[in-house]
Amino acid sequence: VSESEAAWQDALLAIRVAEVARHRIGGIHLRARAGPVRDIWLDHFHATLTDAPIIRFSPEVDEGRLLGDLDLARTLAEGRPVLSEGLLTRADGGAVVLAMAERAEPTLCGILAGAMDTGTIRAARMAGESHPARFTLIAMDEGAEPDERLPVALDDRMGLRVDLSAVSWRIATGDLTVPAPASLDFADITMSDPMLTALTTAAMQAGWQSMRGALWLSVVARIVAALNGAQEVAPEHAASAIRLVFGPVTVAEETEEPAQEQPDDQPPPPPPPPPDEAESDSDDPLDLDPETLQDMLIAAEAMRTMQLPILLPADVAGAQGRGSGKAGALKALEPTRSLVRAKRALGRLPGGGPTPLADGMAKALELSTRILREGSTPLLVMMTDGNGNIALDGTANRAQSREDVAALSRHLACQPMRRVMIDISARPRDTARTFAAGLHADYVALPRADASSVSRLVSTYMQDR
Amino acid sequence: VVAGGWSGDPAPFFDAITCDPDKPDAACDHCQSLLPKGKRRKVSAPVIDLPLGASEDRVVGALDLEKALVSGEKAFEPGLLAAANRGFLYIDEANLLEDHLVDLLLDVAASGVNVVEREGLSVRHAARFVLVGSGNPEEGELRPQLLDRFGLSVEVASPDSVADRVEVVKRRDAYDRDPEGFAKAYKARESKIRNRIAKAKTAVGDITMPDETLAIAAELCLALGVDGLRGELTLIRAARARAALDGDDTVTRAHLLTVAPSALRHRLRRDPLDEAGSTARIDRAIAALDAGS
Repeated sequence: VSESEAAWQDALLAIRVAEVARHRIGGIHLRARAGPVRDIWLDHFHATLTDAPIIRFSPEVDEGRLLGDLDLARTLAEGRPVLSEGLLTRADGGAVVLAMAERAEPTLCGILAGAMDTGTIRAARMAGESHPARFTLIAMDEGAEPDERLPVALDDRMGLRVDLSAVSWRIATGDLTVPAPASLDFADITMSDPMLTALTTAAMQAGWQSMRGALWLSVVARIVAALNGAQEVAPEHAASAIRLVFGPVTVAEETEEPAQEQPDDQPPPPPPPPPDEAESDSDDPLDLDPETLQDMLIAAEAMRTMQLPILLPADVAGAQGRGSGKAGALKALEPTRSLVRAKRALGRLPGGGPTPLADGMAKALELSTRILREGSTPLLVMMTDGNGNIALDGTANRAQSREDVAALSRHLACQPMRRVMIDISARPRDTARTFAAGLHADYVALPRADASSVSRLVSTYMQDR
Repeated sequence: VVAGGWSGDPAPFFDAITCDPDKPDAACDHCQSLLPKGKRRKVSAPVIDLPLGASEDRVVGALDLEKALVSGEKAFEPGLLAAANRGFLYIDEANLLEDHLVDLLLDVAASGVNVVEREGLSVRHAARFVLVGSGNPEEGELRPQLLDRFGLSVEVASPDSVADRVEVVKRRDAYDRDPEGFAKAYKARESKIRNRIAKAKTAVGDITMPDETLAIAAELCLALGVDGLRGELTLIRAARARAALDGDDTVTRAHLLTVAPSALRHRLRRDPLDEAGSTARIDRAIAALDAGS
C-alpha cells in the first residue's frame, strides 16, 4: 500500500468515524489545499449526512449571522422584533464546514468552542434565548506558513485529523470507498484497562496537555472496533485511532539536530568542543549561560505588557564547552502576548555551539516583513557580538557568513522599524559597532547584561514609539 | 432574596426589585420606585453567562425595540449586567473577550452601577455581581487591570499522572453512557458540600478576626510586594470564609495561609526570571515568615 493510498484510506475511515460519533467527536481538522481531492473527500463526507444540514462559511462570518440577530425586514413588517435563525442553530444535527479555518479570529473560535462544549448557542441580541447547536465541525486548514494554523482553542476540540496533502487525484478517484457502516453500537464495545492506560499514555507522550486527547482516542478506538465487527478494542483498532486522532504525521518539535548538511570539503562543527577550543576566534566569547538566556524573557514580558510585537533574535555565541552539540542557537522569537508561550519558546533555546547569525537575521527579516504586512511596527532587538561563523546554507564558512550577514543587514536596514543592537560581549569591540552601523541600529553595550537592564532598555524603546 | 419572578430572561427579571430589599436606602432609583408594592419570595441567585460575541446592546441593555415599534414608547430593555445583579457573571474564555467589552465590564465591576446613555435613554441601575472568568493562558493572558478585579485566582491543570487521567476518561465515559445515573452517584457528596457552604454563609458574619492574624496578612503582603490594599482585604475576607467553612469561630494563621495563594497569586508583580511561578513564590514567602517568627 502506497503512502498516498494509506492516507486516503485513513481519510475515508475518518468520515465513517465522524458519522458514527456525530457531534461527540468535535470535528475533523482537514489539512488540504483547495482542489479536486478535497472536493472528492467533502463529497464523501456529505454523502454520509444525507438528511442533515451542512452549513459552510468562512472566518469573516458576522457574529450576528452565526448566533441569530434582529431580522430588520420582518421586524418592521410585523411591528415586533423578530430574530433570524443563527447559522449554528441551522447546523444542528449536521455539520459546519469552516473554510480557511487557519484564519479564524479568537472571537469566532470562542463562539464555536462554546457551542461545541455546550451543544447550544445564545442569540447575540435581546433576551438571548438558548438554541440547540450540535454539529460536527469540519475545519478546513490551508495553512502553509508556520503562523497559519488552526487556533489551539479549535484544534484541541477536534477529535479527528485528516491530511490530504499526500493523496493523489488518481488514488482519490480510485476504488477505495468509505468503510461500511457498523452493525454494532460503539457504546457497547469494551476496552480493557491496560488498553485504556496505553492510549492515555500515548496522548500524554504526544504532548497533548488537555484531557481531550485521551478522550478522543478512547472514543475513536471503540468506533473503529465497532466498524470492524469486534466486541473489544484490539491493538490494531488502537493503532488506527492513534493515526486518526493525532494525524498521519506526529511532529517532534524539540529534536533539532546540529547542522547535518555539511559539504565534504568543510570541516564539521566540533560538538562537543573541549573547553579551550571553541570554534569562535573571539578572545572574549559571549558568556551567555542559561540564566542570561532568561534575560530575554524580560523583553518578552515587556512585549506582553505593551501588547506590541517585537523581534528577538537571540545570538548565543561561543559559550565554551557549554550546550555542546546544539545548533540553531539563533532564533527569532515569534511575537506573542502569552508569557507562557514565550517562556516555552525561550526555554528551548540552546546555548553555545556555532553561531548561525545569518540564519537568525533571515528569520528576523521574514518575521518583520510579516508583522509590517499585518500593519504593526516591530522593534528589532538583537543580542549578539556581530560575529557569525555559519553561513546561510548551513556551512561553517566564515567568509560566506560575513557576506550573508552584510546582505541581510542591508535588507533589515530598509525595513521601516527601529533597531537596537545589544552588545553583550564582556569587552565590547569594533566588530560589534560595525555590525550595528551596517544594520542602521542603535548600538548599546551591556557587558554585564542582566535581567533588569535588558528589560529597562527594551521598555524604553517600546515607549518611545 | 428578591421580589418577582426570575425565569432566566433578563427582561422579566428587571420588572422586579434587583437591589437588596432589606437595604432600601442603598437601592437604585428603579428599585426604590418598586419597593413599596413589591411582594417578596425566594428565588435562586442568578448565574449569567456572558458569551463571547455578545453585542454591547445585550451586555449593557438597550432600547426596547418591541415597545418602540408597537407603541412608540421609549423603554429600556435590560441586558446581562442587570440580570447578573446580586448573582454571578460567568465569562468562559475571558482572555478572548473583545477589548470594548472588557473596558465596559471593568467599569461596572468597580462601581457596581451600570450607566446607560444611548438611543435617547438615560438609565442607571445596580449591577453588583461576582465575576467568574475562565481561560487558557496559552491562548492569551488577561489584561492586568481585569485580572485585578478578580478576588481569587485558581489554577486548574490537567492531571499529570496516567492513573488520574485514566480515571478522568472512565468517568467521562460513564457520564456519556448515563448522565442521570452519573449525577445521582455524586449527589450525596455534592449536597454535603452544599450544606457545608450554606452553614458557613450564615456563620461568616460572626467570625472573630484577631489582630495577630491581621498582622500576619499585612506582613505576607509586604513581603510579596503586593500592590495596593485590595489583595490584603481579599486575603482577610477569604480567610474569614475559610474559617467559617471549617466550622471554626476564630480566624487563625492556618486559615490565612491556606487561602493566601488563591488570594494573592494573580496580584504579584510578574517575575519572568522566576521559573517557579507565583504559587511557589507565595510558598517561599510563607516559609520565610515561619523562619522569622
